[in-house]
Amino acid sequence: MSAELVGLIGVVILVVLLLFVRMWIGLAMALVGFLGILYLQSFKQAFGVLGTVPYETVAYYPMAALPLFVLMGVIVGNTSIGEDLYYAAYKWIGQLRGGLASATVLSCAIFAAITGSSATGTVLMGKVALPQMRRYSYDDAMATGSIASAGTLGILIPPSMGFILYGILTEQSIGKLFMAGFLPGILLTILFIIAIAITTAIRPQAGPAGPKTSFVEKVVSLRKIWHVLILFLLVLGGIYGGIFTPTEAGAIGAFGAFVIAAATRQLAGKKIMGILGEAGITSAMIFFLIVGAFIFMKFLGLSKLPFAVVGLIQQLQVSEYVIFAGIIILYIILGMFLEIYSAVTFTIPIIYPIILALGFDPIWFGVIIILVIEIGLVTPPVGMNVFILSGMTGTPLESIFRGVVPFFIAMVVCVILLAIFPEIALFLPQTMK
Amino acid sequence: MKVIDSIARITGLVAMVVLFLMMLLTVADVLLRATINKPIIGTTEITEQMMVAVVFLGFGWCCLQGKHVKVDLFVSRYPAGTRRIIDLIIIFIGLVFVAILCWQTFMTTLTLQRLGITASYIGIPKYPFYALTALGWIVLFLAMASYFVQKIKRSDER
Repeated sequence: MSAELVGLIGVVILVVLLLFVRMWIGLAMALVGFLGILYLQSFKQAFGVLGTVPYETVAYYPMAALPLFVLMGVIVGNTSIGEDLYYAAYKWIGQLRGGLASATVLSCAIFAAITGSSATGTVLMGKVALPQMRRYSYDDAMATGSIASAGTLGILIPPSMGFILYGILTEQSIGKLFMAGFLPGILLTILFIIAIAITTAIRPQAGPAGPKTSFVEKVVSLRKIWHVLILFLLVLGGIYGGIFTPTEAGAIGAFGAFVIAAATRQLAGKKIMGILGEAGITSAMIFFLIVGAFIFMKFLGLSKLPFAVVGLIQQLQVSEYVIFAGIIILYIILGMFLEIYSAVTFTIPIIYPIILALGFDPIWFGVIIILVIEIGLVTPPVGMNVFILSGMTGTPLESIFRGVVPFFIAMVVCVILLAIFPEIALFLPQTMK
Repeated sequence: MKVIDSIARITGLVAMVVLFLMMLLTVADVLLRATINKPIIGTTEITEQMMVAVVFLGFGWCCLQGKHVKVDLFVSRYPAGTRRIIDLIIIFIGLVFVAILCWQTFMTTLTLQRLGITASYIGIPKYPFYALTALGWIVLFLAMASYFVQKIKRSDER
């Protein structure tokens, strides 16, 4: 049996283990990787990998960015920062038609600039924004659709767990990936707001205007959120200016969030333990995937399967954009079954060499992958954000999925714009130090 | 099983504390570098070794909380009996595999100790951190074993 065939069989076994017997994803990747190396090489090699790869993977400086940004996100999620952001956005644009939904999008975008996951924003807005929109008799589809979609901005606008993971697995600069996500994040925010404007222009009852607010109220609302802007500028400005590594930015971000939480008296002793615990468990969960992925990648490398796939694709003589479209569709399908961390870890070992061979920019592709995974998070059958929101609020899944449609279109437009104008993603990373 | 719970909780707690210290160390390093141009020597290496505690000591706890990622999509639609048998087999395979991981990590620990290998630059010996990795696998093994036993005892849960 050729090495490539062994690689292919390994991938198939992995899929079976994941989907049909629900083995932990990290464990399944490690196990298949181990057995594959055992078959292709020797006992000694395979056992050696198990004895060294987990440690060597984890004890690597750039990895430390991950738990630190997780910590930062968990602290921010446990304070009233998100709520304050929403009320400020609400005061500024709430009185427009569809304004409460736009305020949700805007506050999620700013919230995304200090947190890195998509669930945090959705959970928060489900608690804060939904009651407001219901009060002003928004239809439920518009209200929940905007919340589920706006939450996904969390992984596009830096800091982002998705980019950290992609950077770790592909050995690309996490700092550059963060910067690459920034402008597309703003673009998508604007596209979301346009989607709301169009929807409410067609059906004004979907999102009636909120209450009028005075200029003084608007200015006062900013008083509670200025520290968020400072935290954001400090963390991302530091990375952009080449002053800190992403790991240092994570530590400073987490520390800054602690200081804000303590200064606004939201940090009781018990809460600190809860925060550290949540951050610890989330980090362990993600690193279990990463360790598994690295063992699996060792096996795939030995099998030369990725090279074989690349060779095959080059023989096909089709436009690289056809392959690109194929990969996007594959990710949209995957995004329906897997949450972001698993989707990225599981596919990068196979897809990434193809992308490089086709001559696409790896940083740009990172942004595309994240966008496509965002789409997966809000589309049936298993849109994670929609599930979370439905579970929280009792709104039926169908009605949220219906509400997501305009935002789904906005996301697709964003992917197309990025494919036509890669500079939107690449401008900032190219100009950073 | 309570003993295993406490062990996993304690190692998880250690992981949390080390994460907090890692944050403080990095912040201190950046501040000292920015203000008096005297960074803490070896921050990178120390952070790398702290990561070992943060990550591996959290695995067991994460397992007890049921937070390791798996795909429920199809399995949750199987009949309860089938689901239980599949879960038991899969956990058993996992137990054997984690035991091998632990054993191999321990063997590497012994080799590194014998050869006196250090993490570069400031000369921290590597083997204690390999031992910590092995400890993490042991706690994960115990947590999985505890789950396995519970699963055998109770047939009603998902």
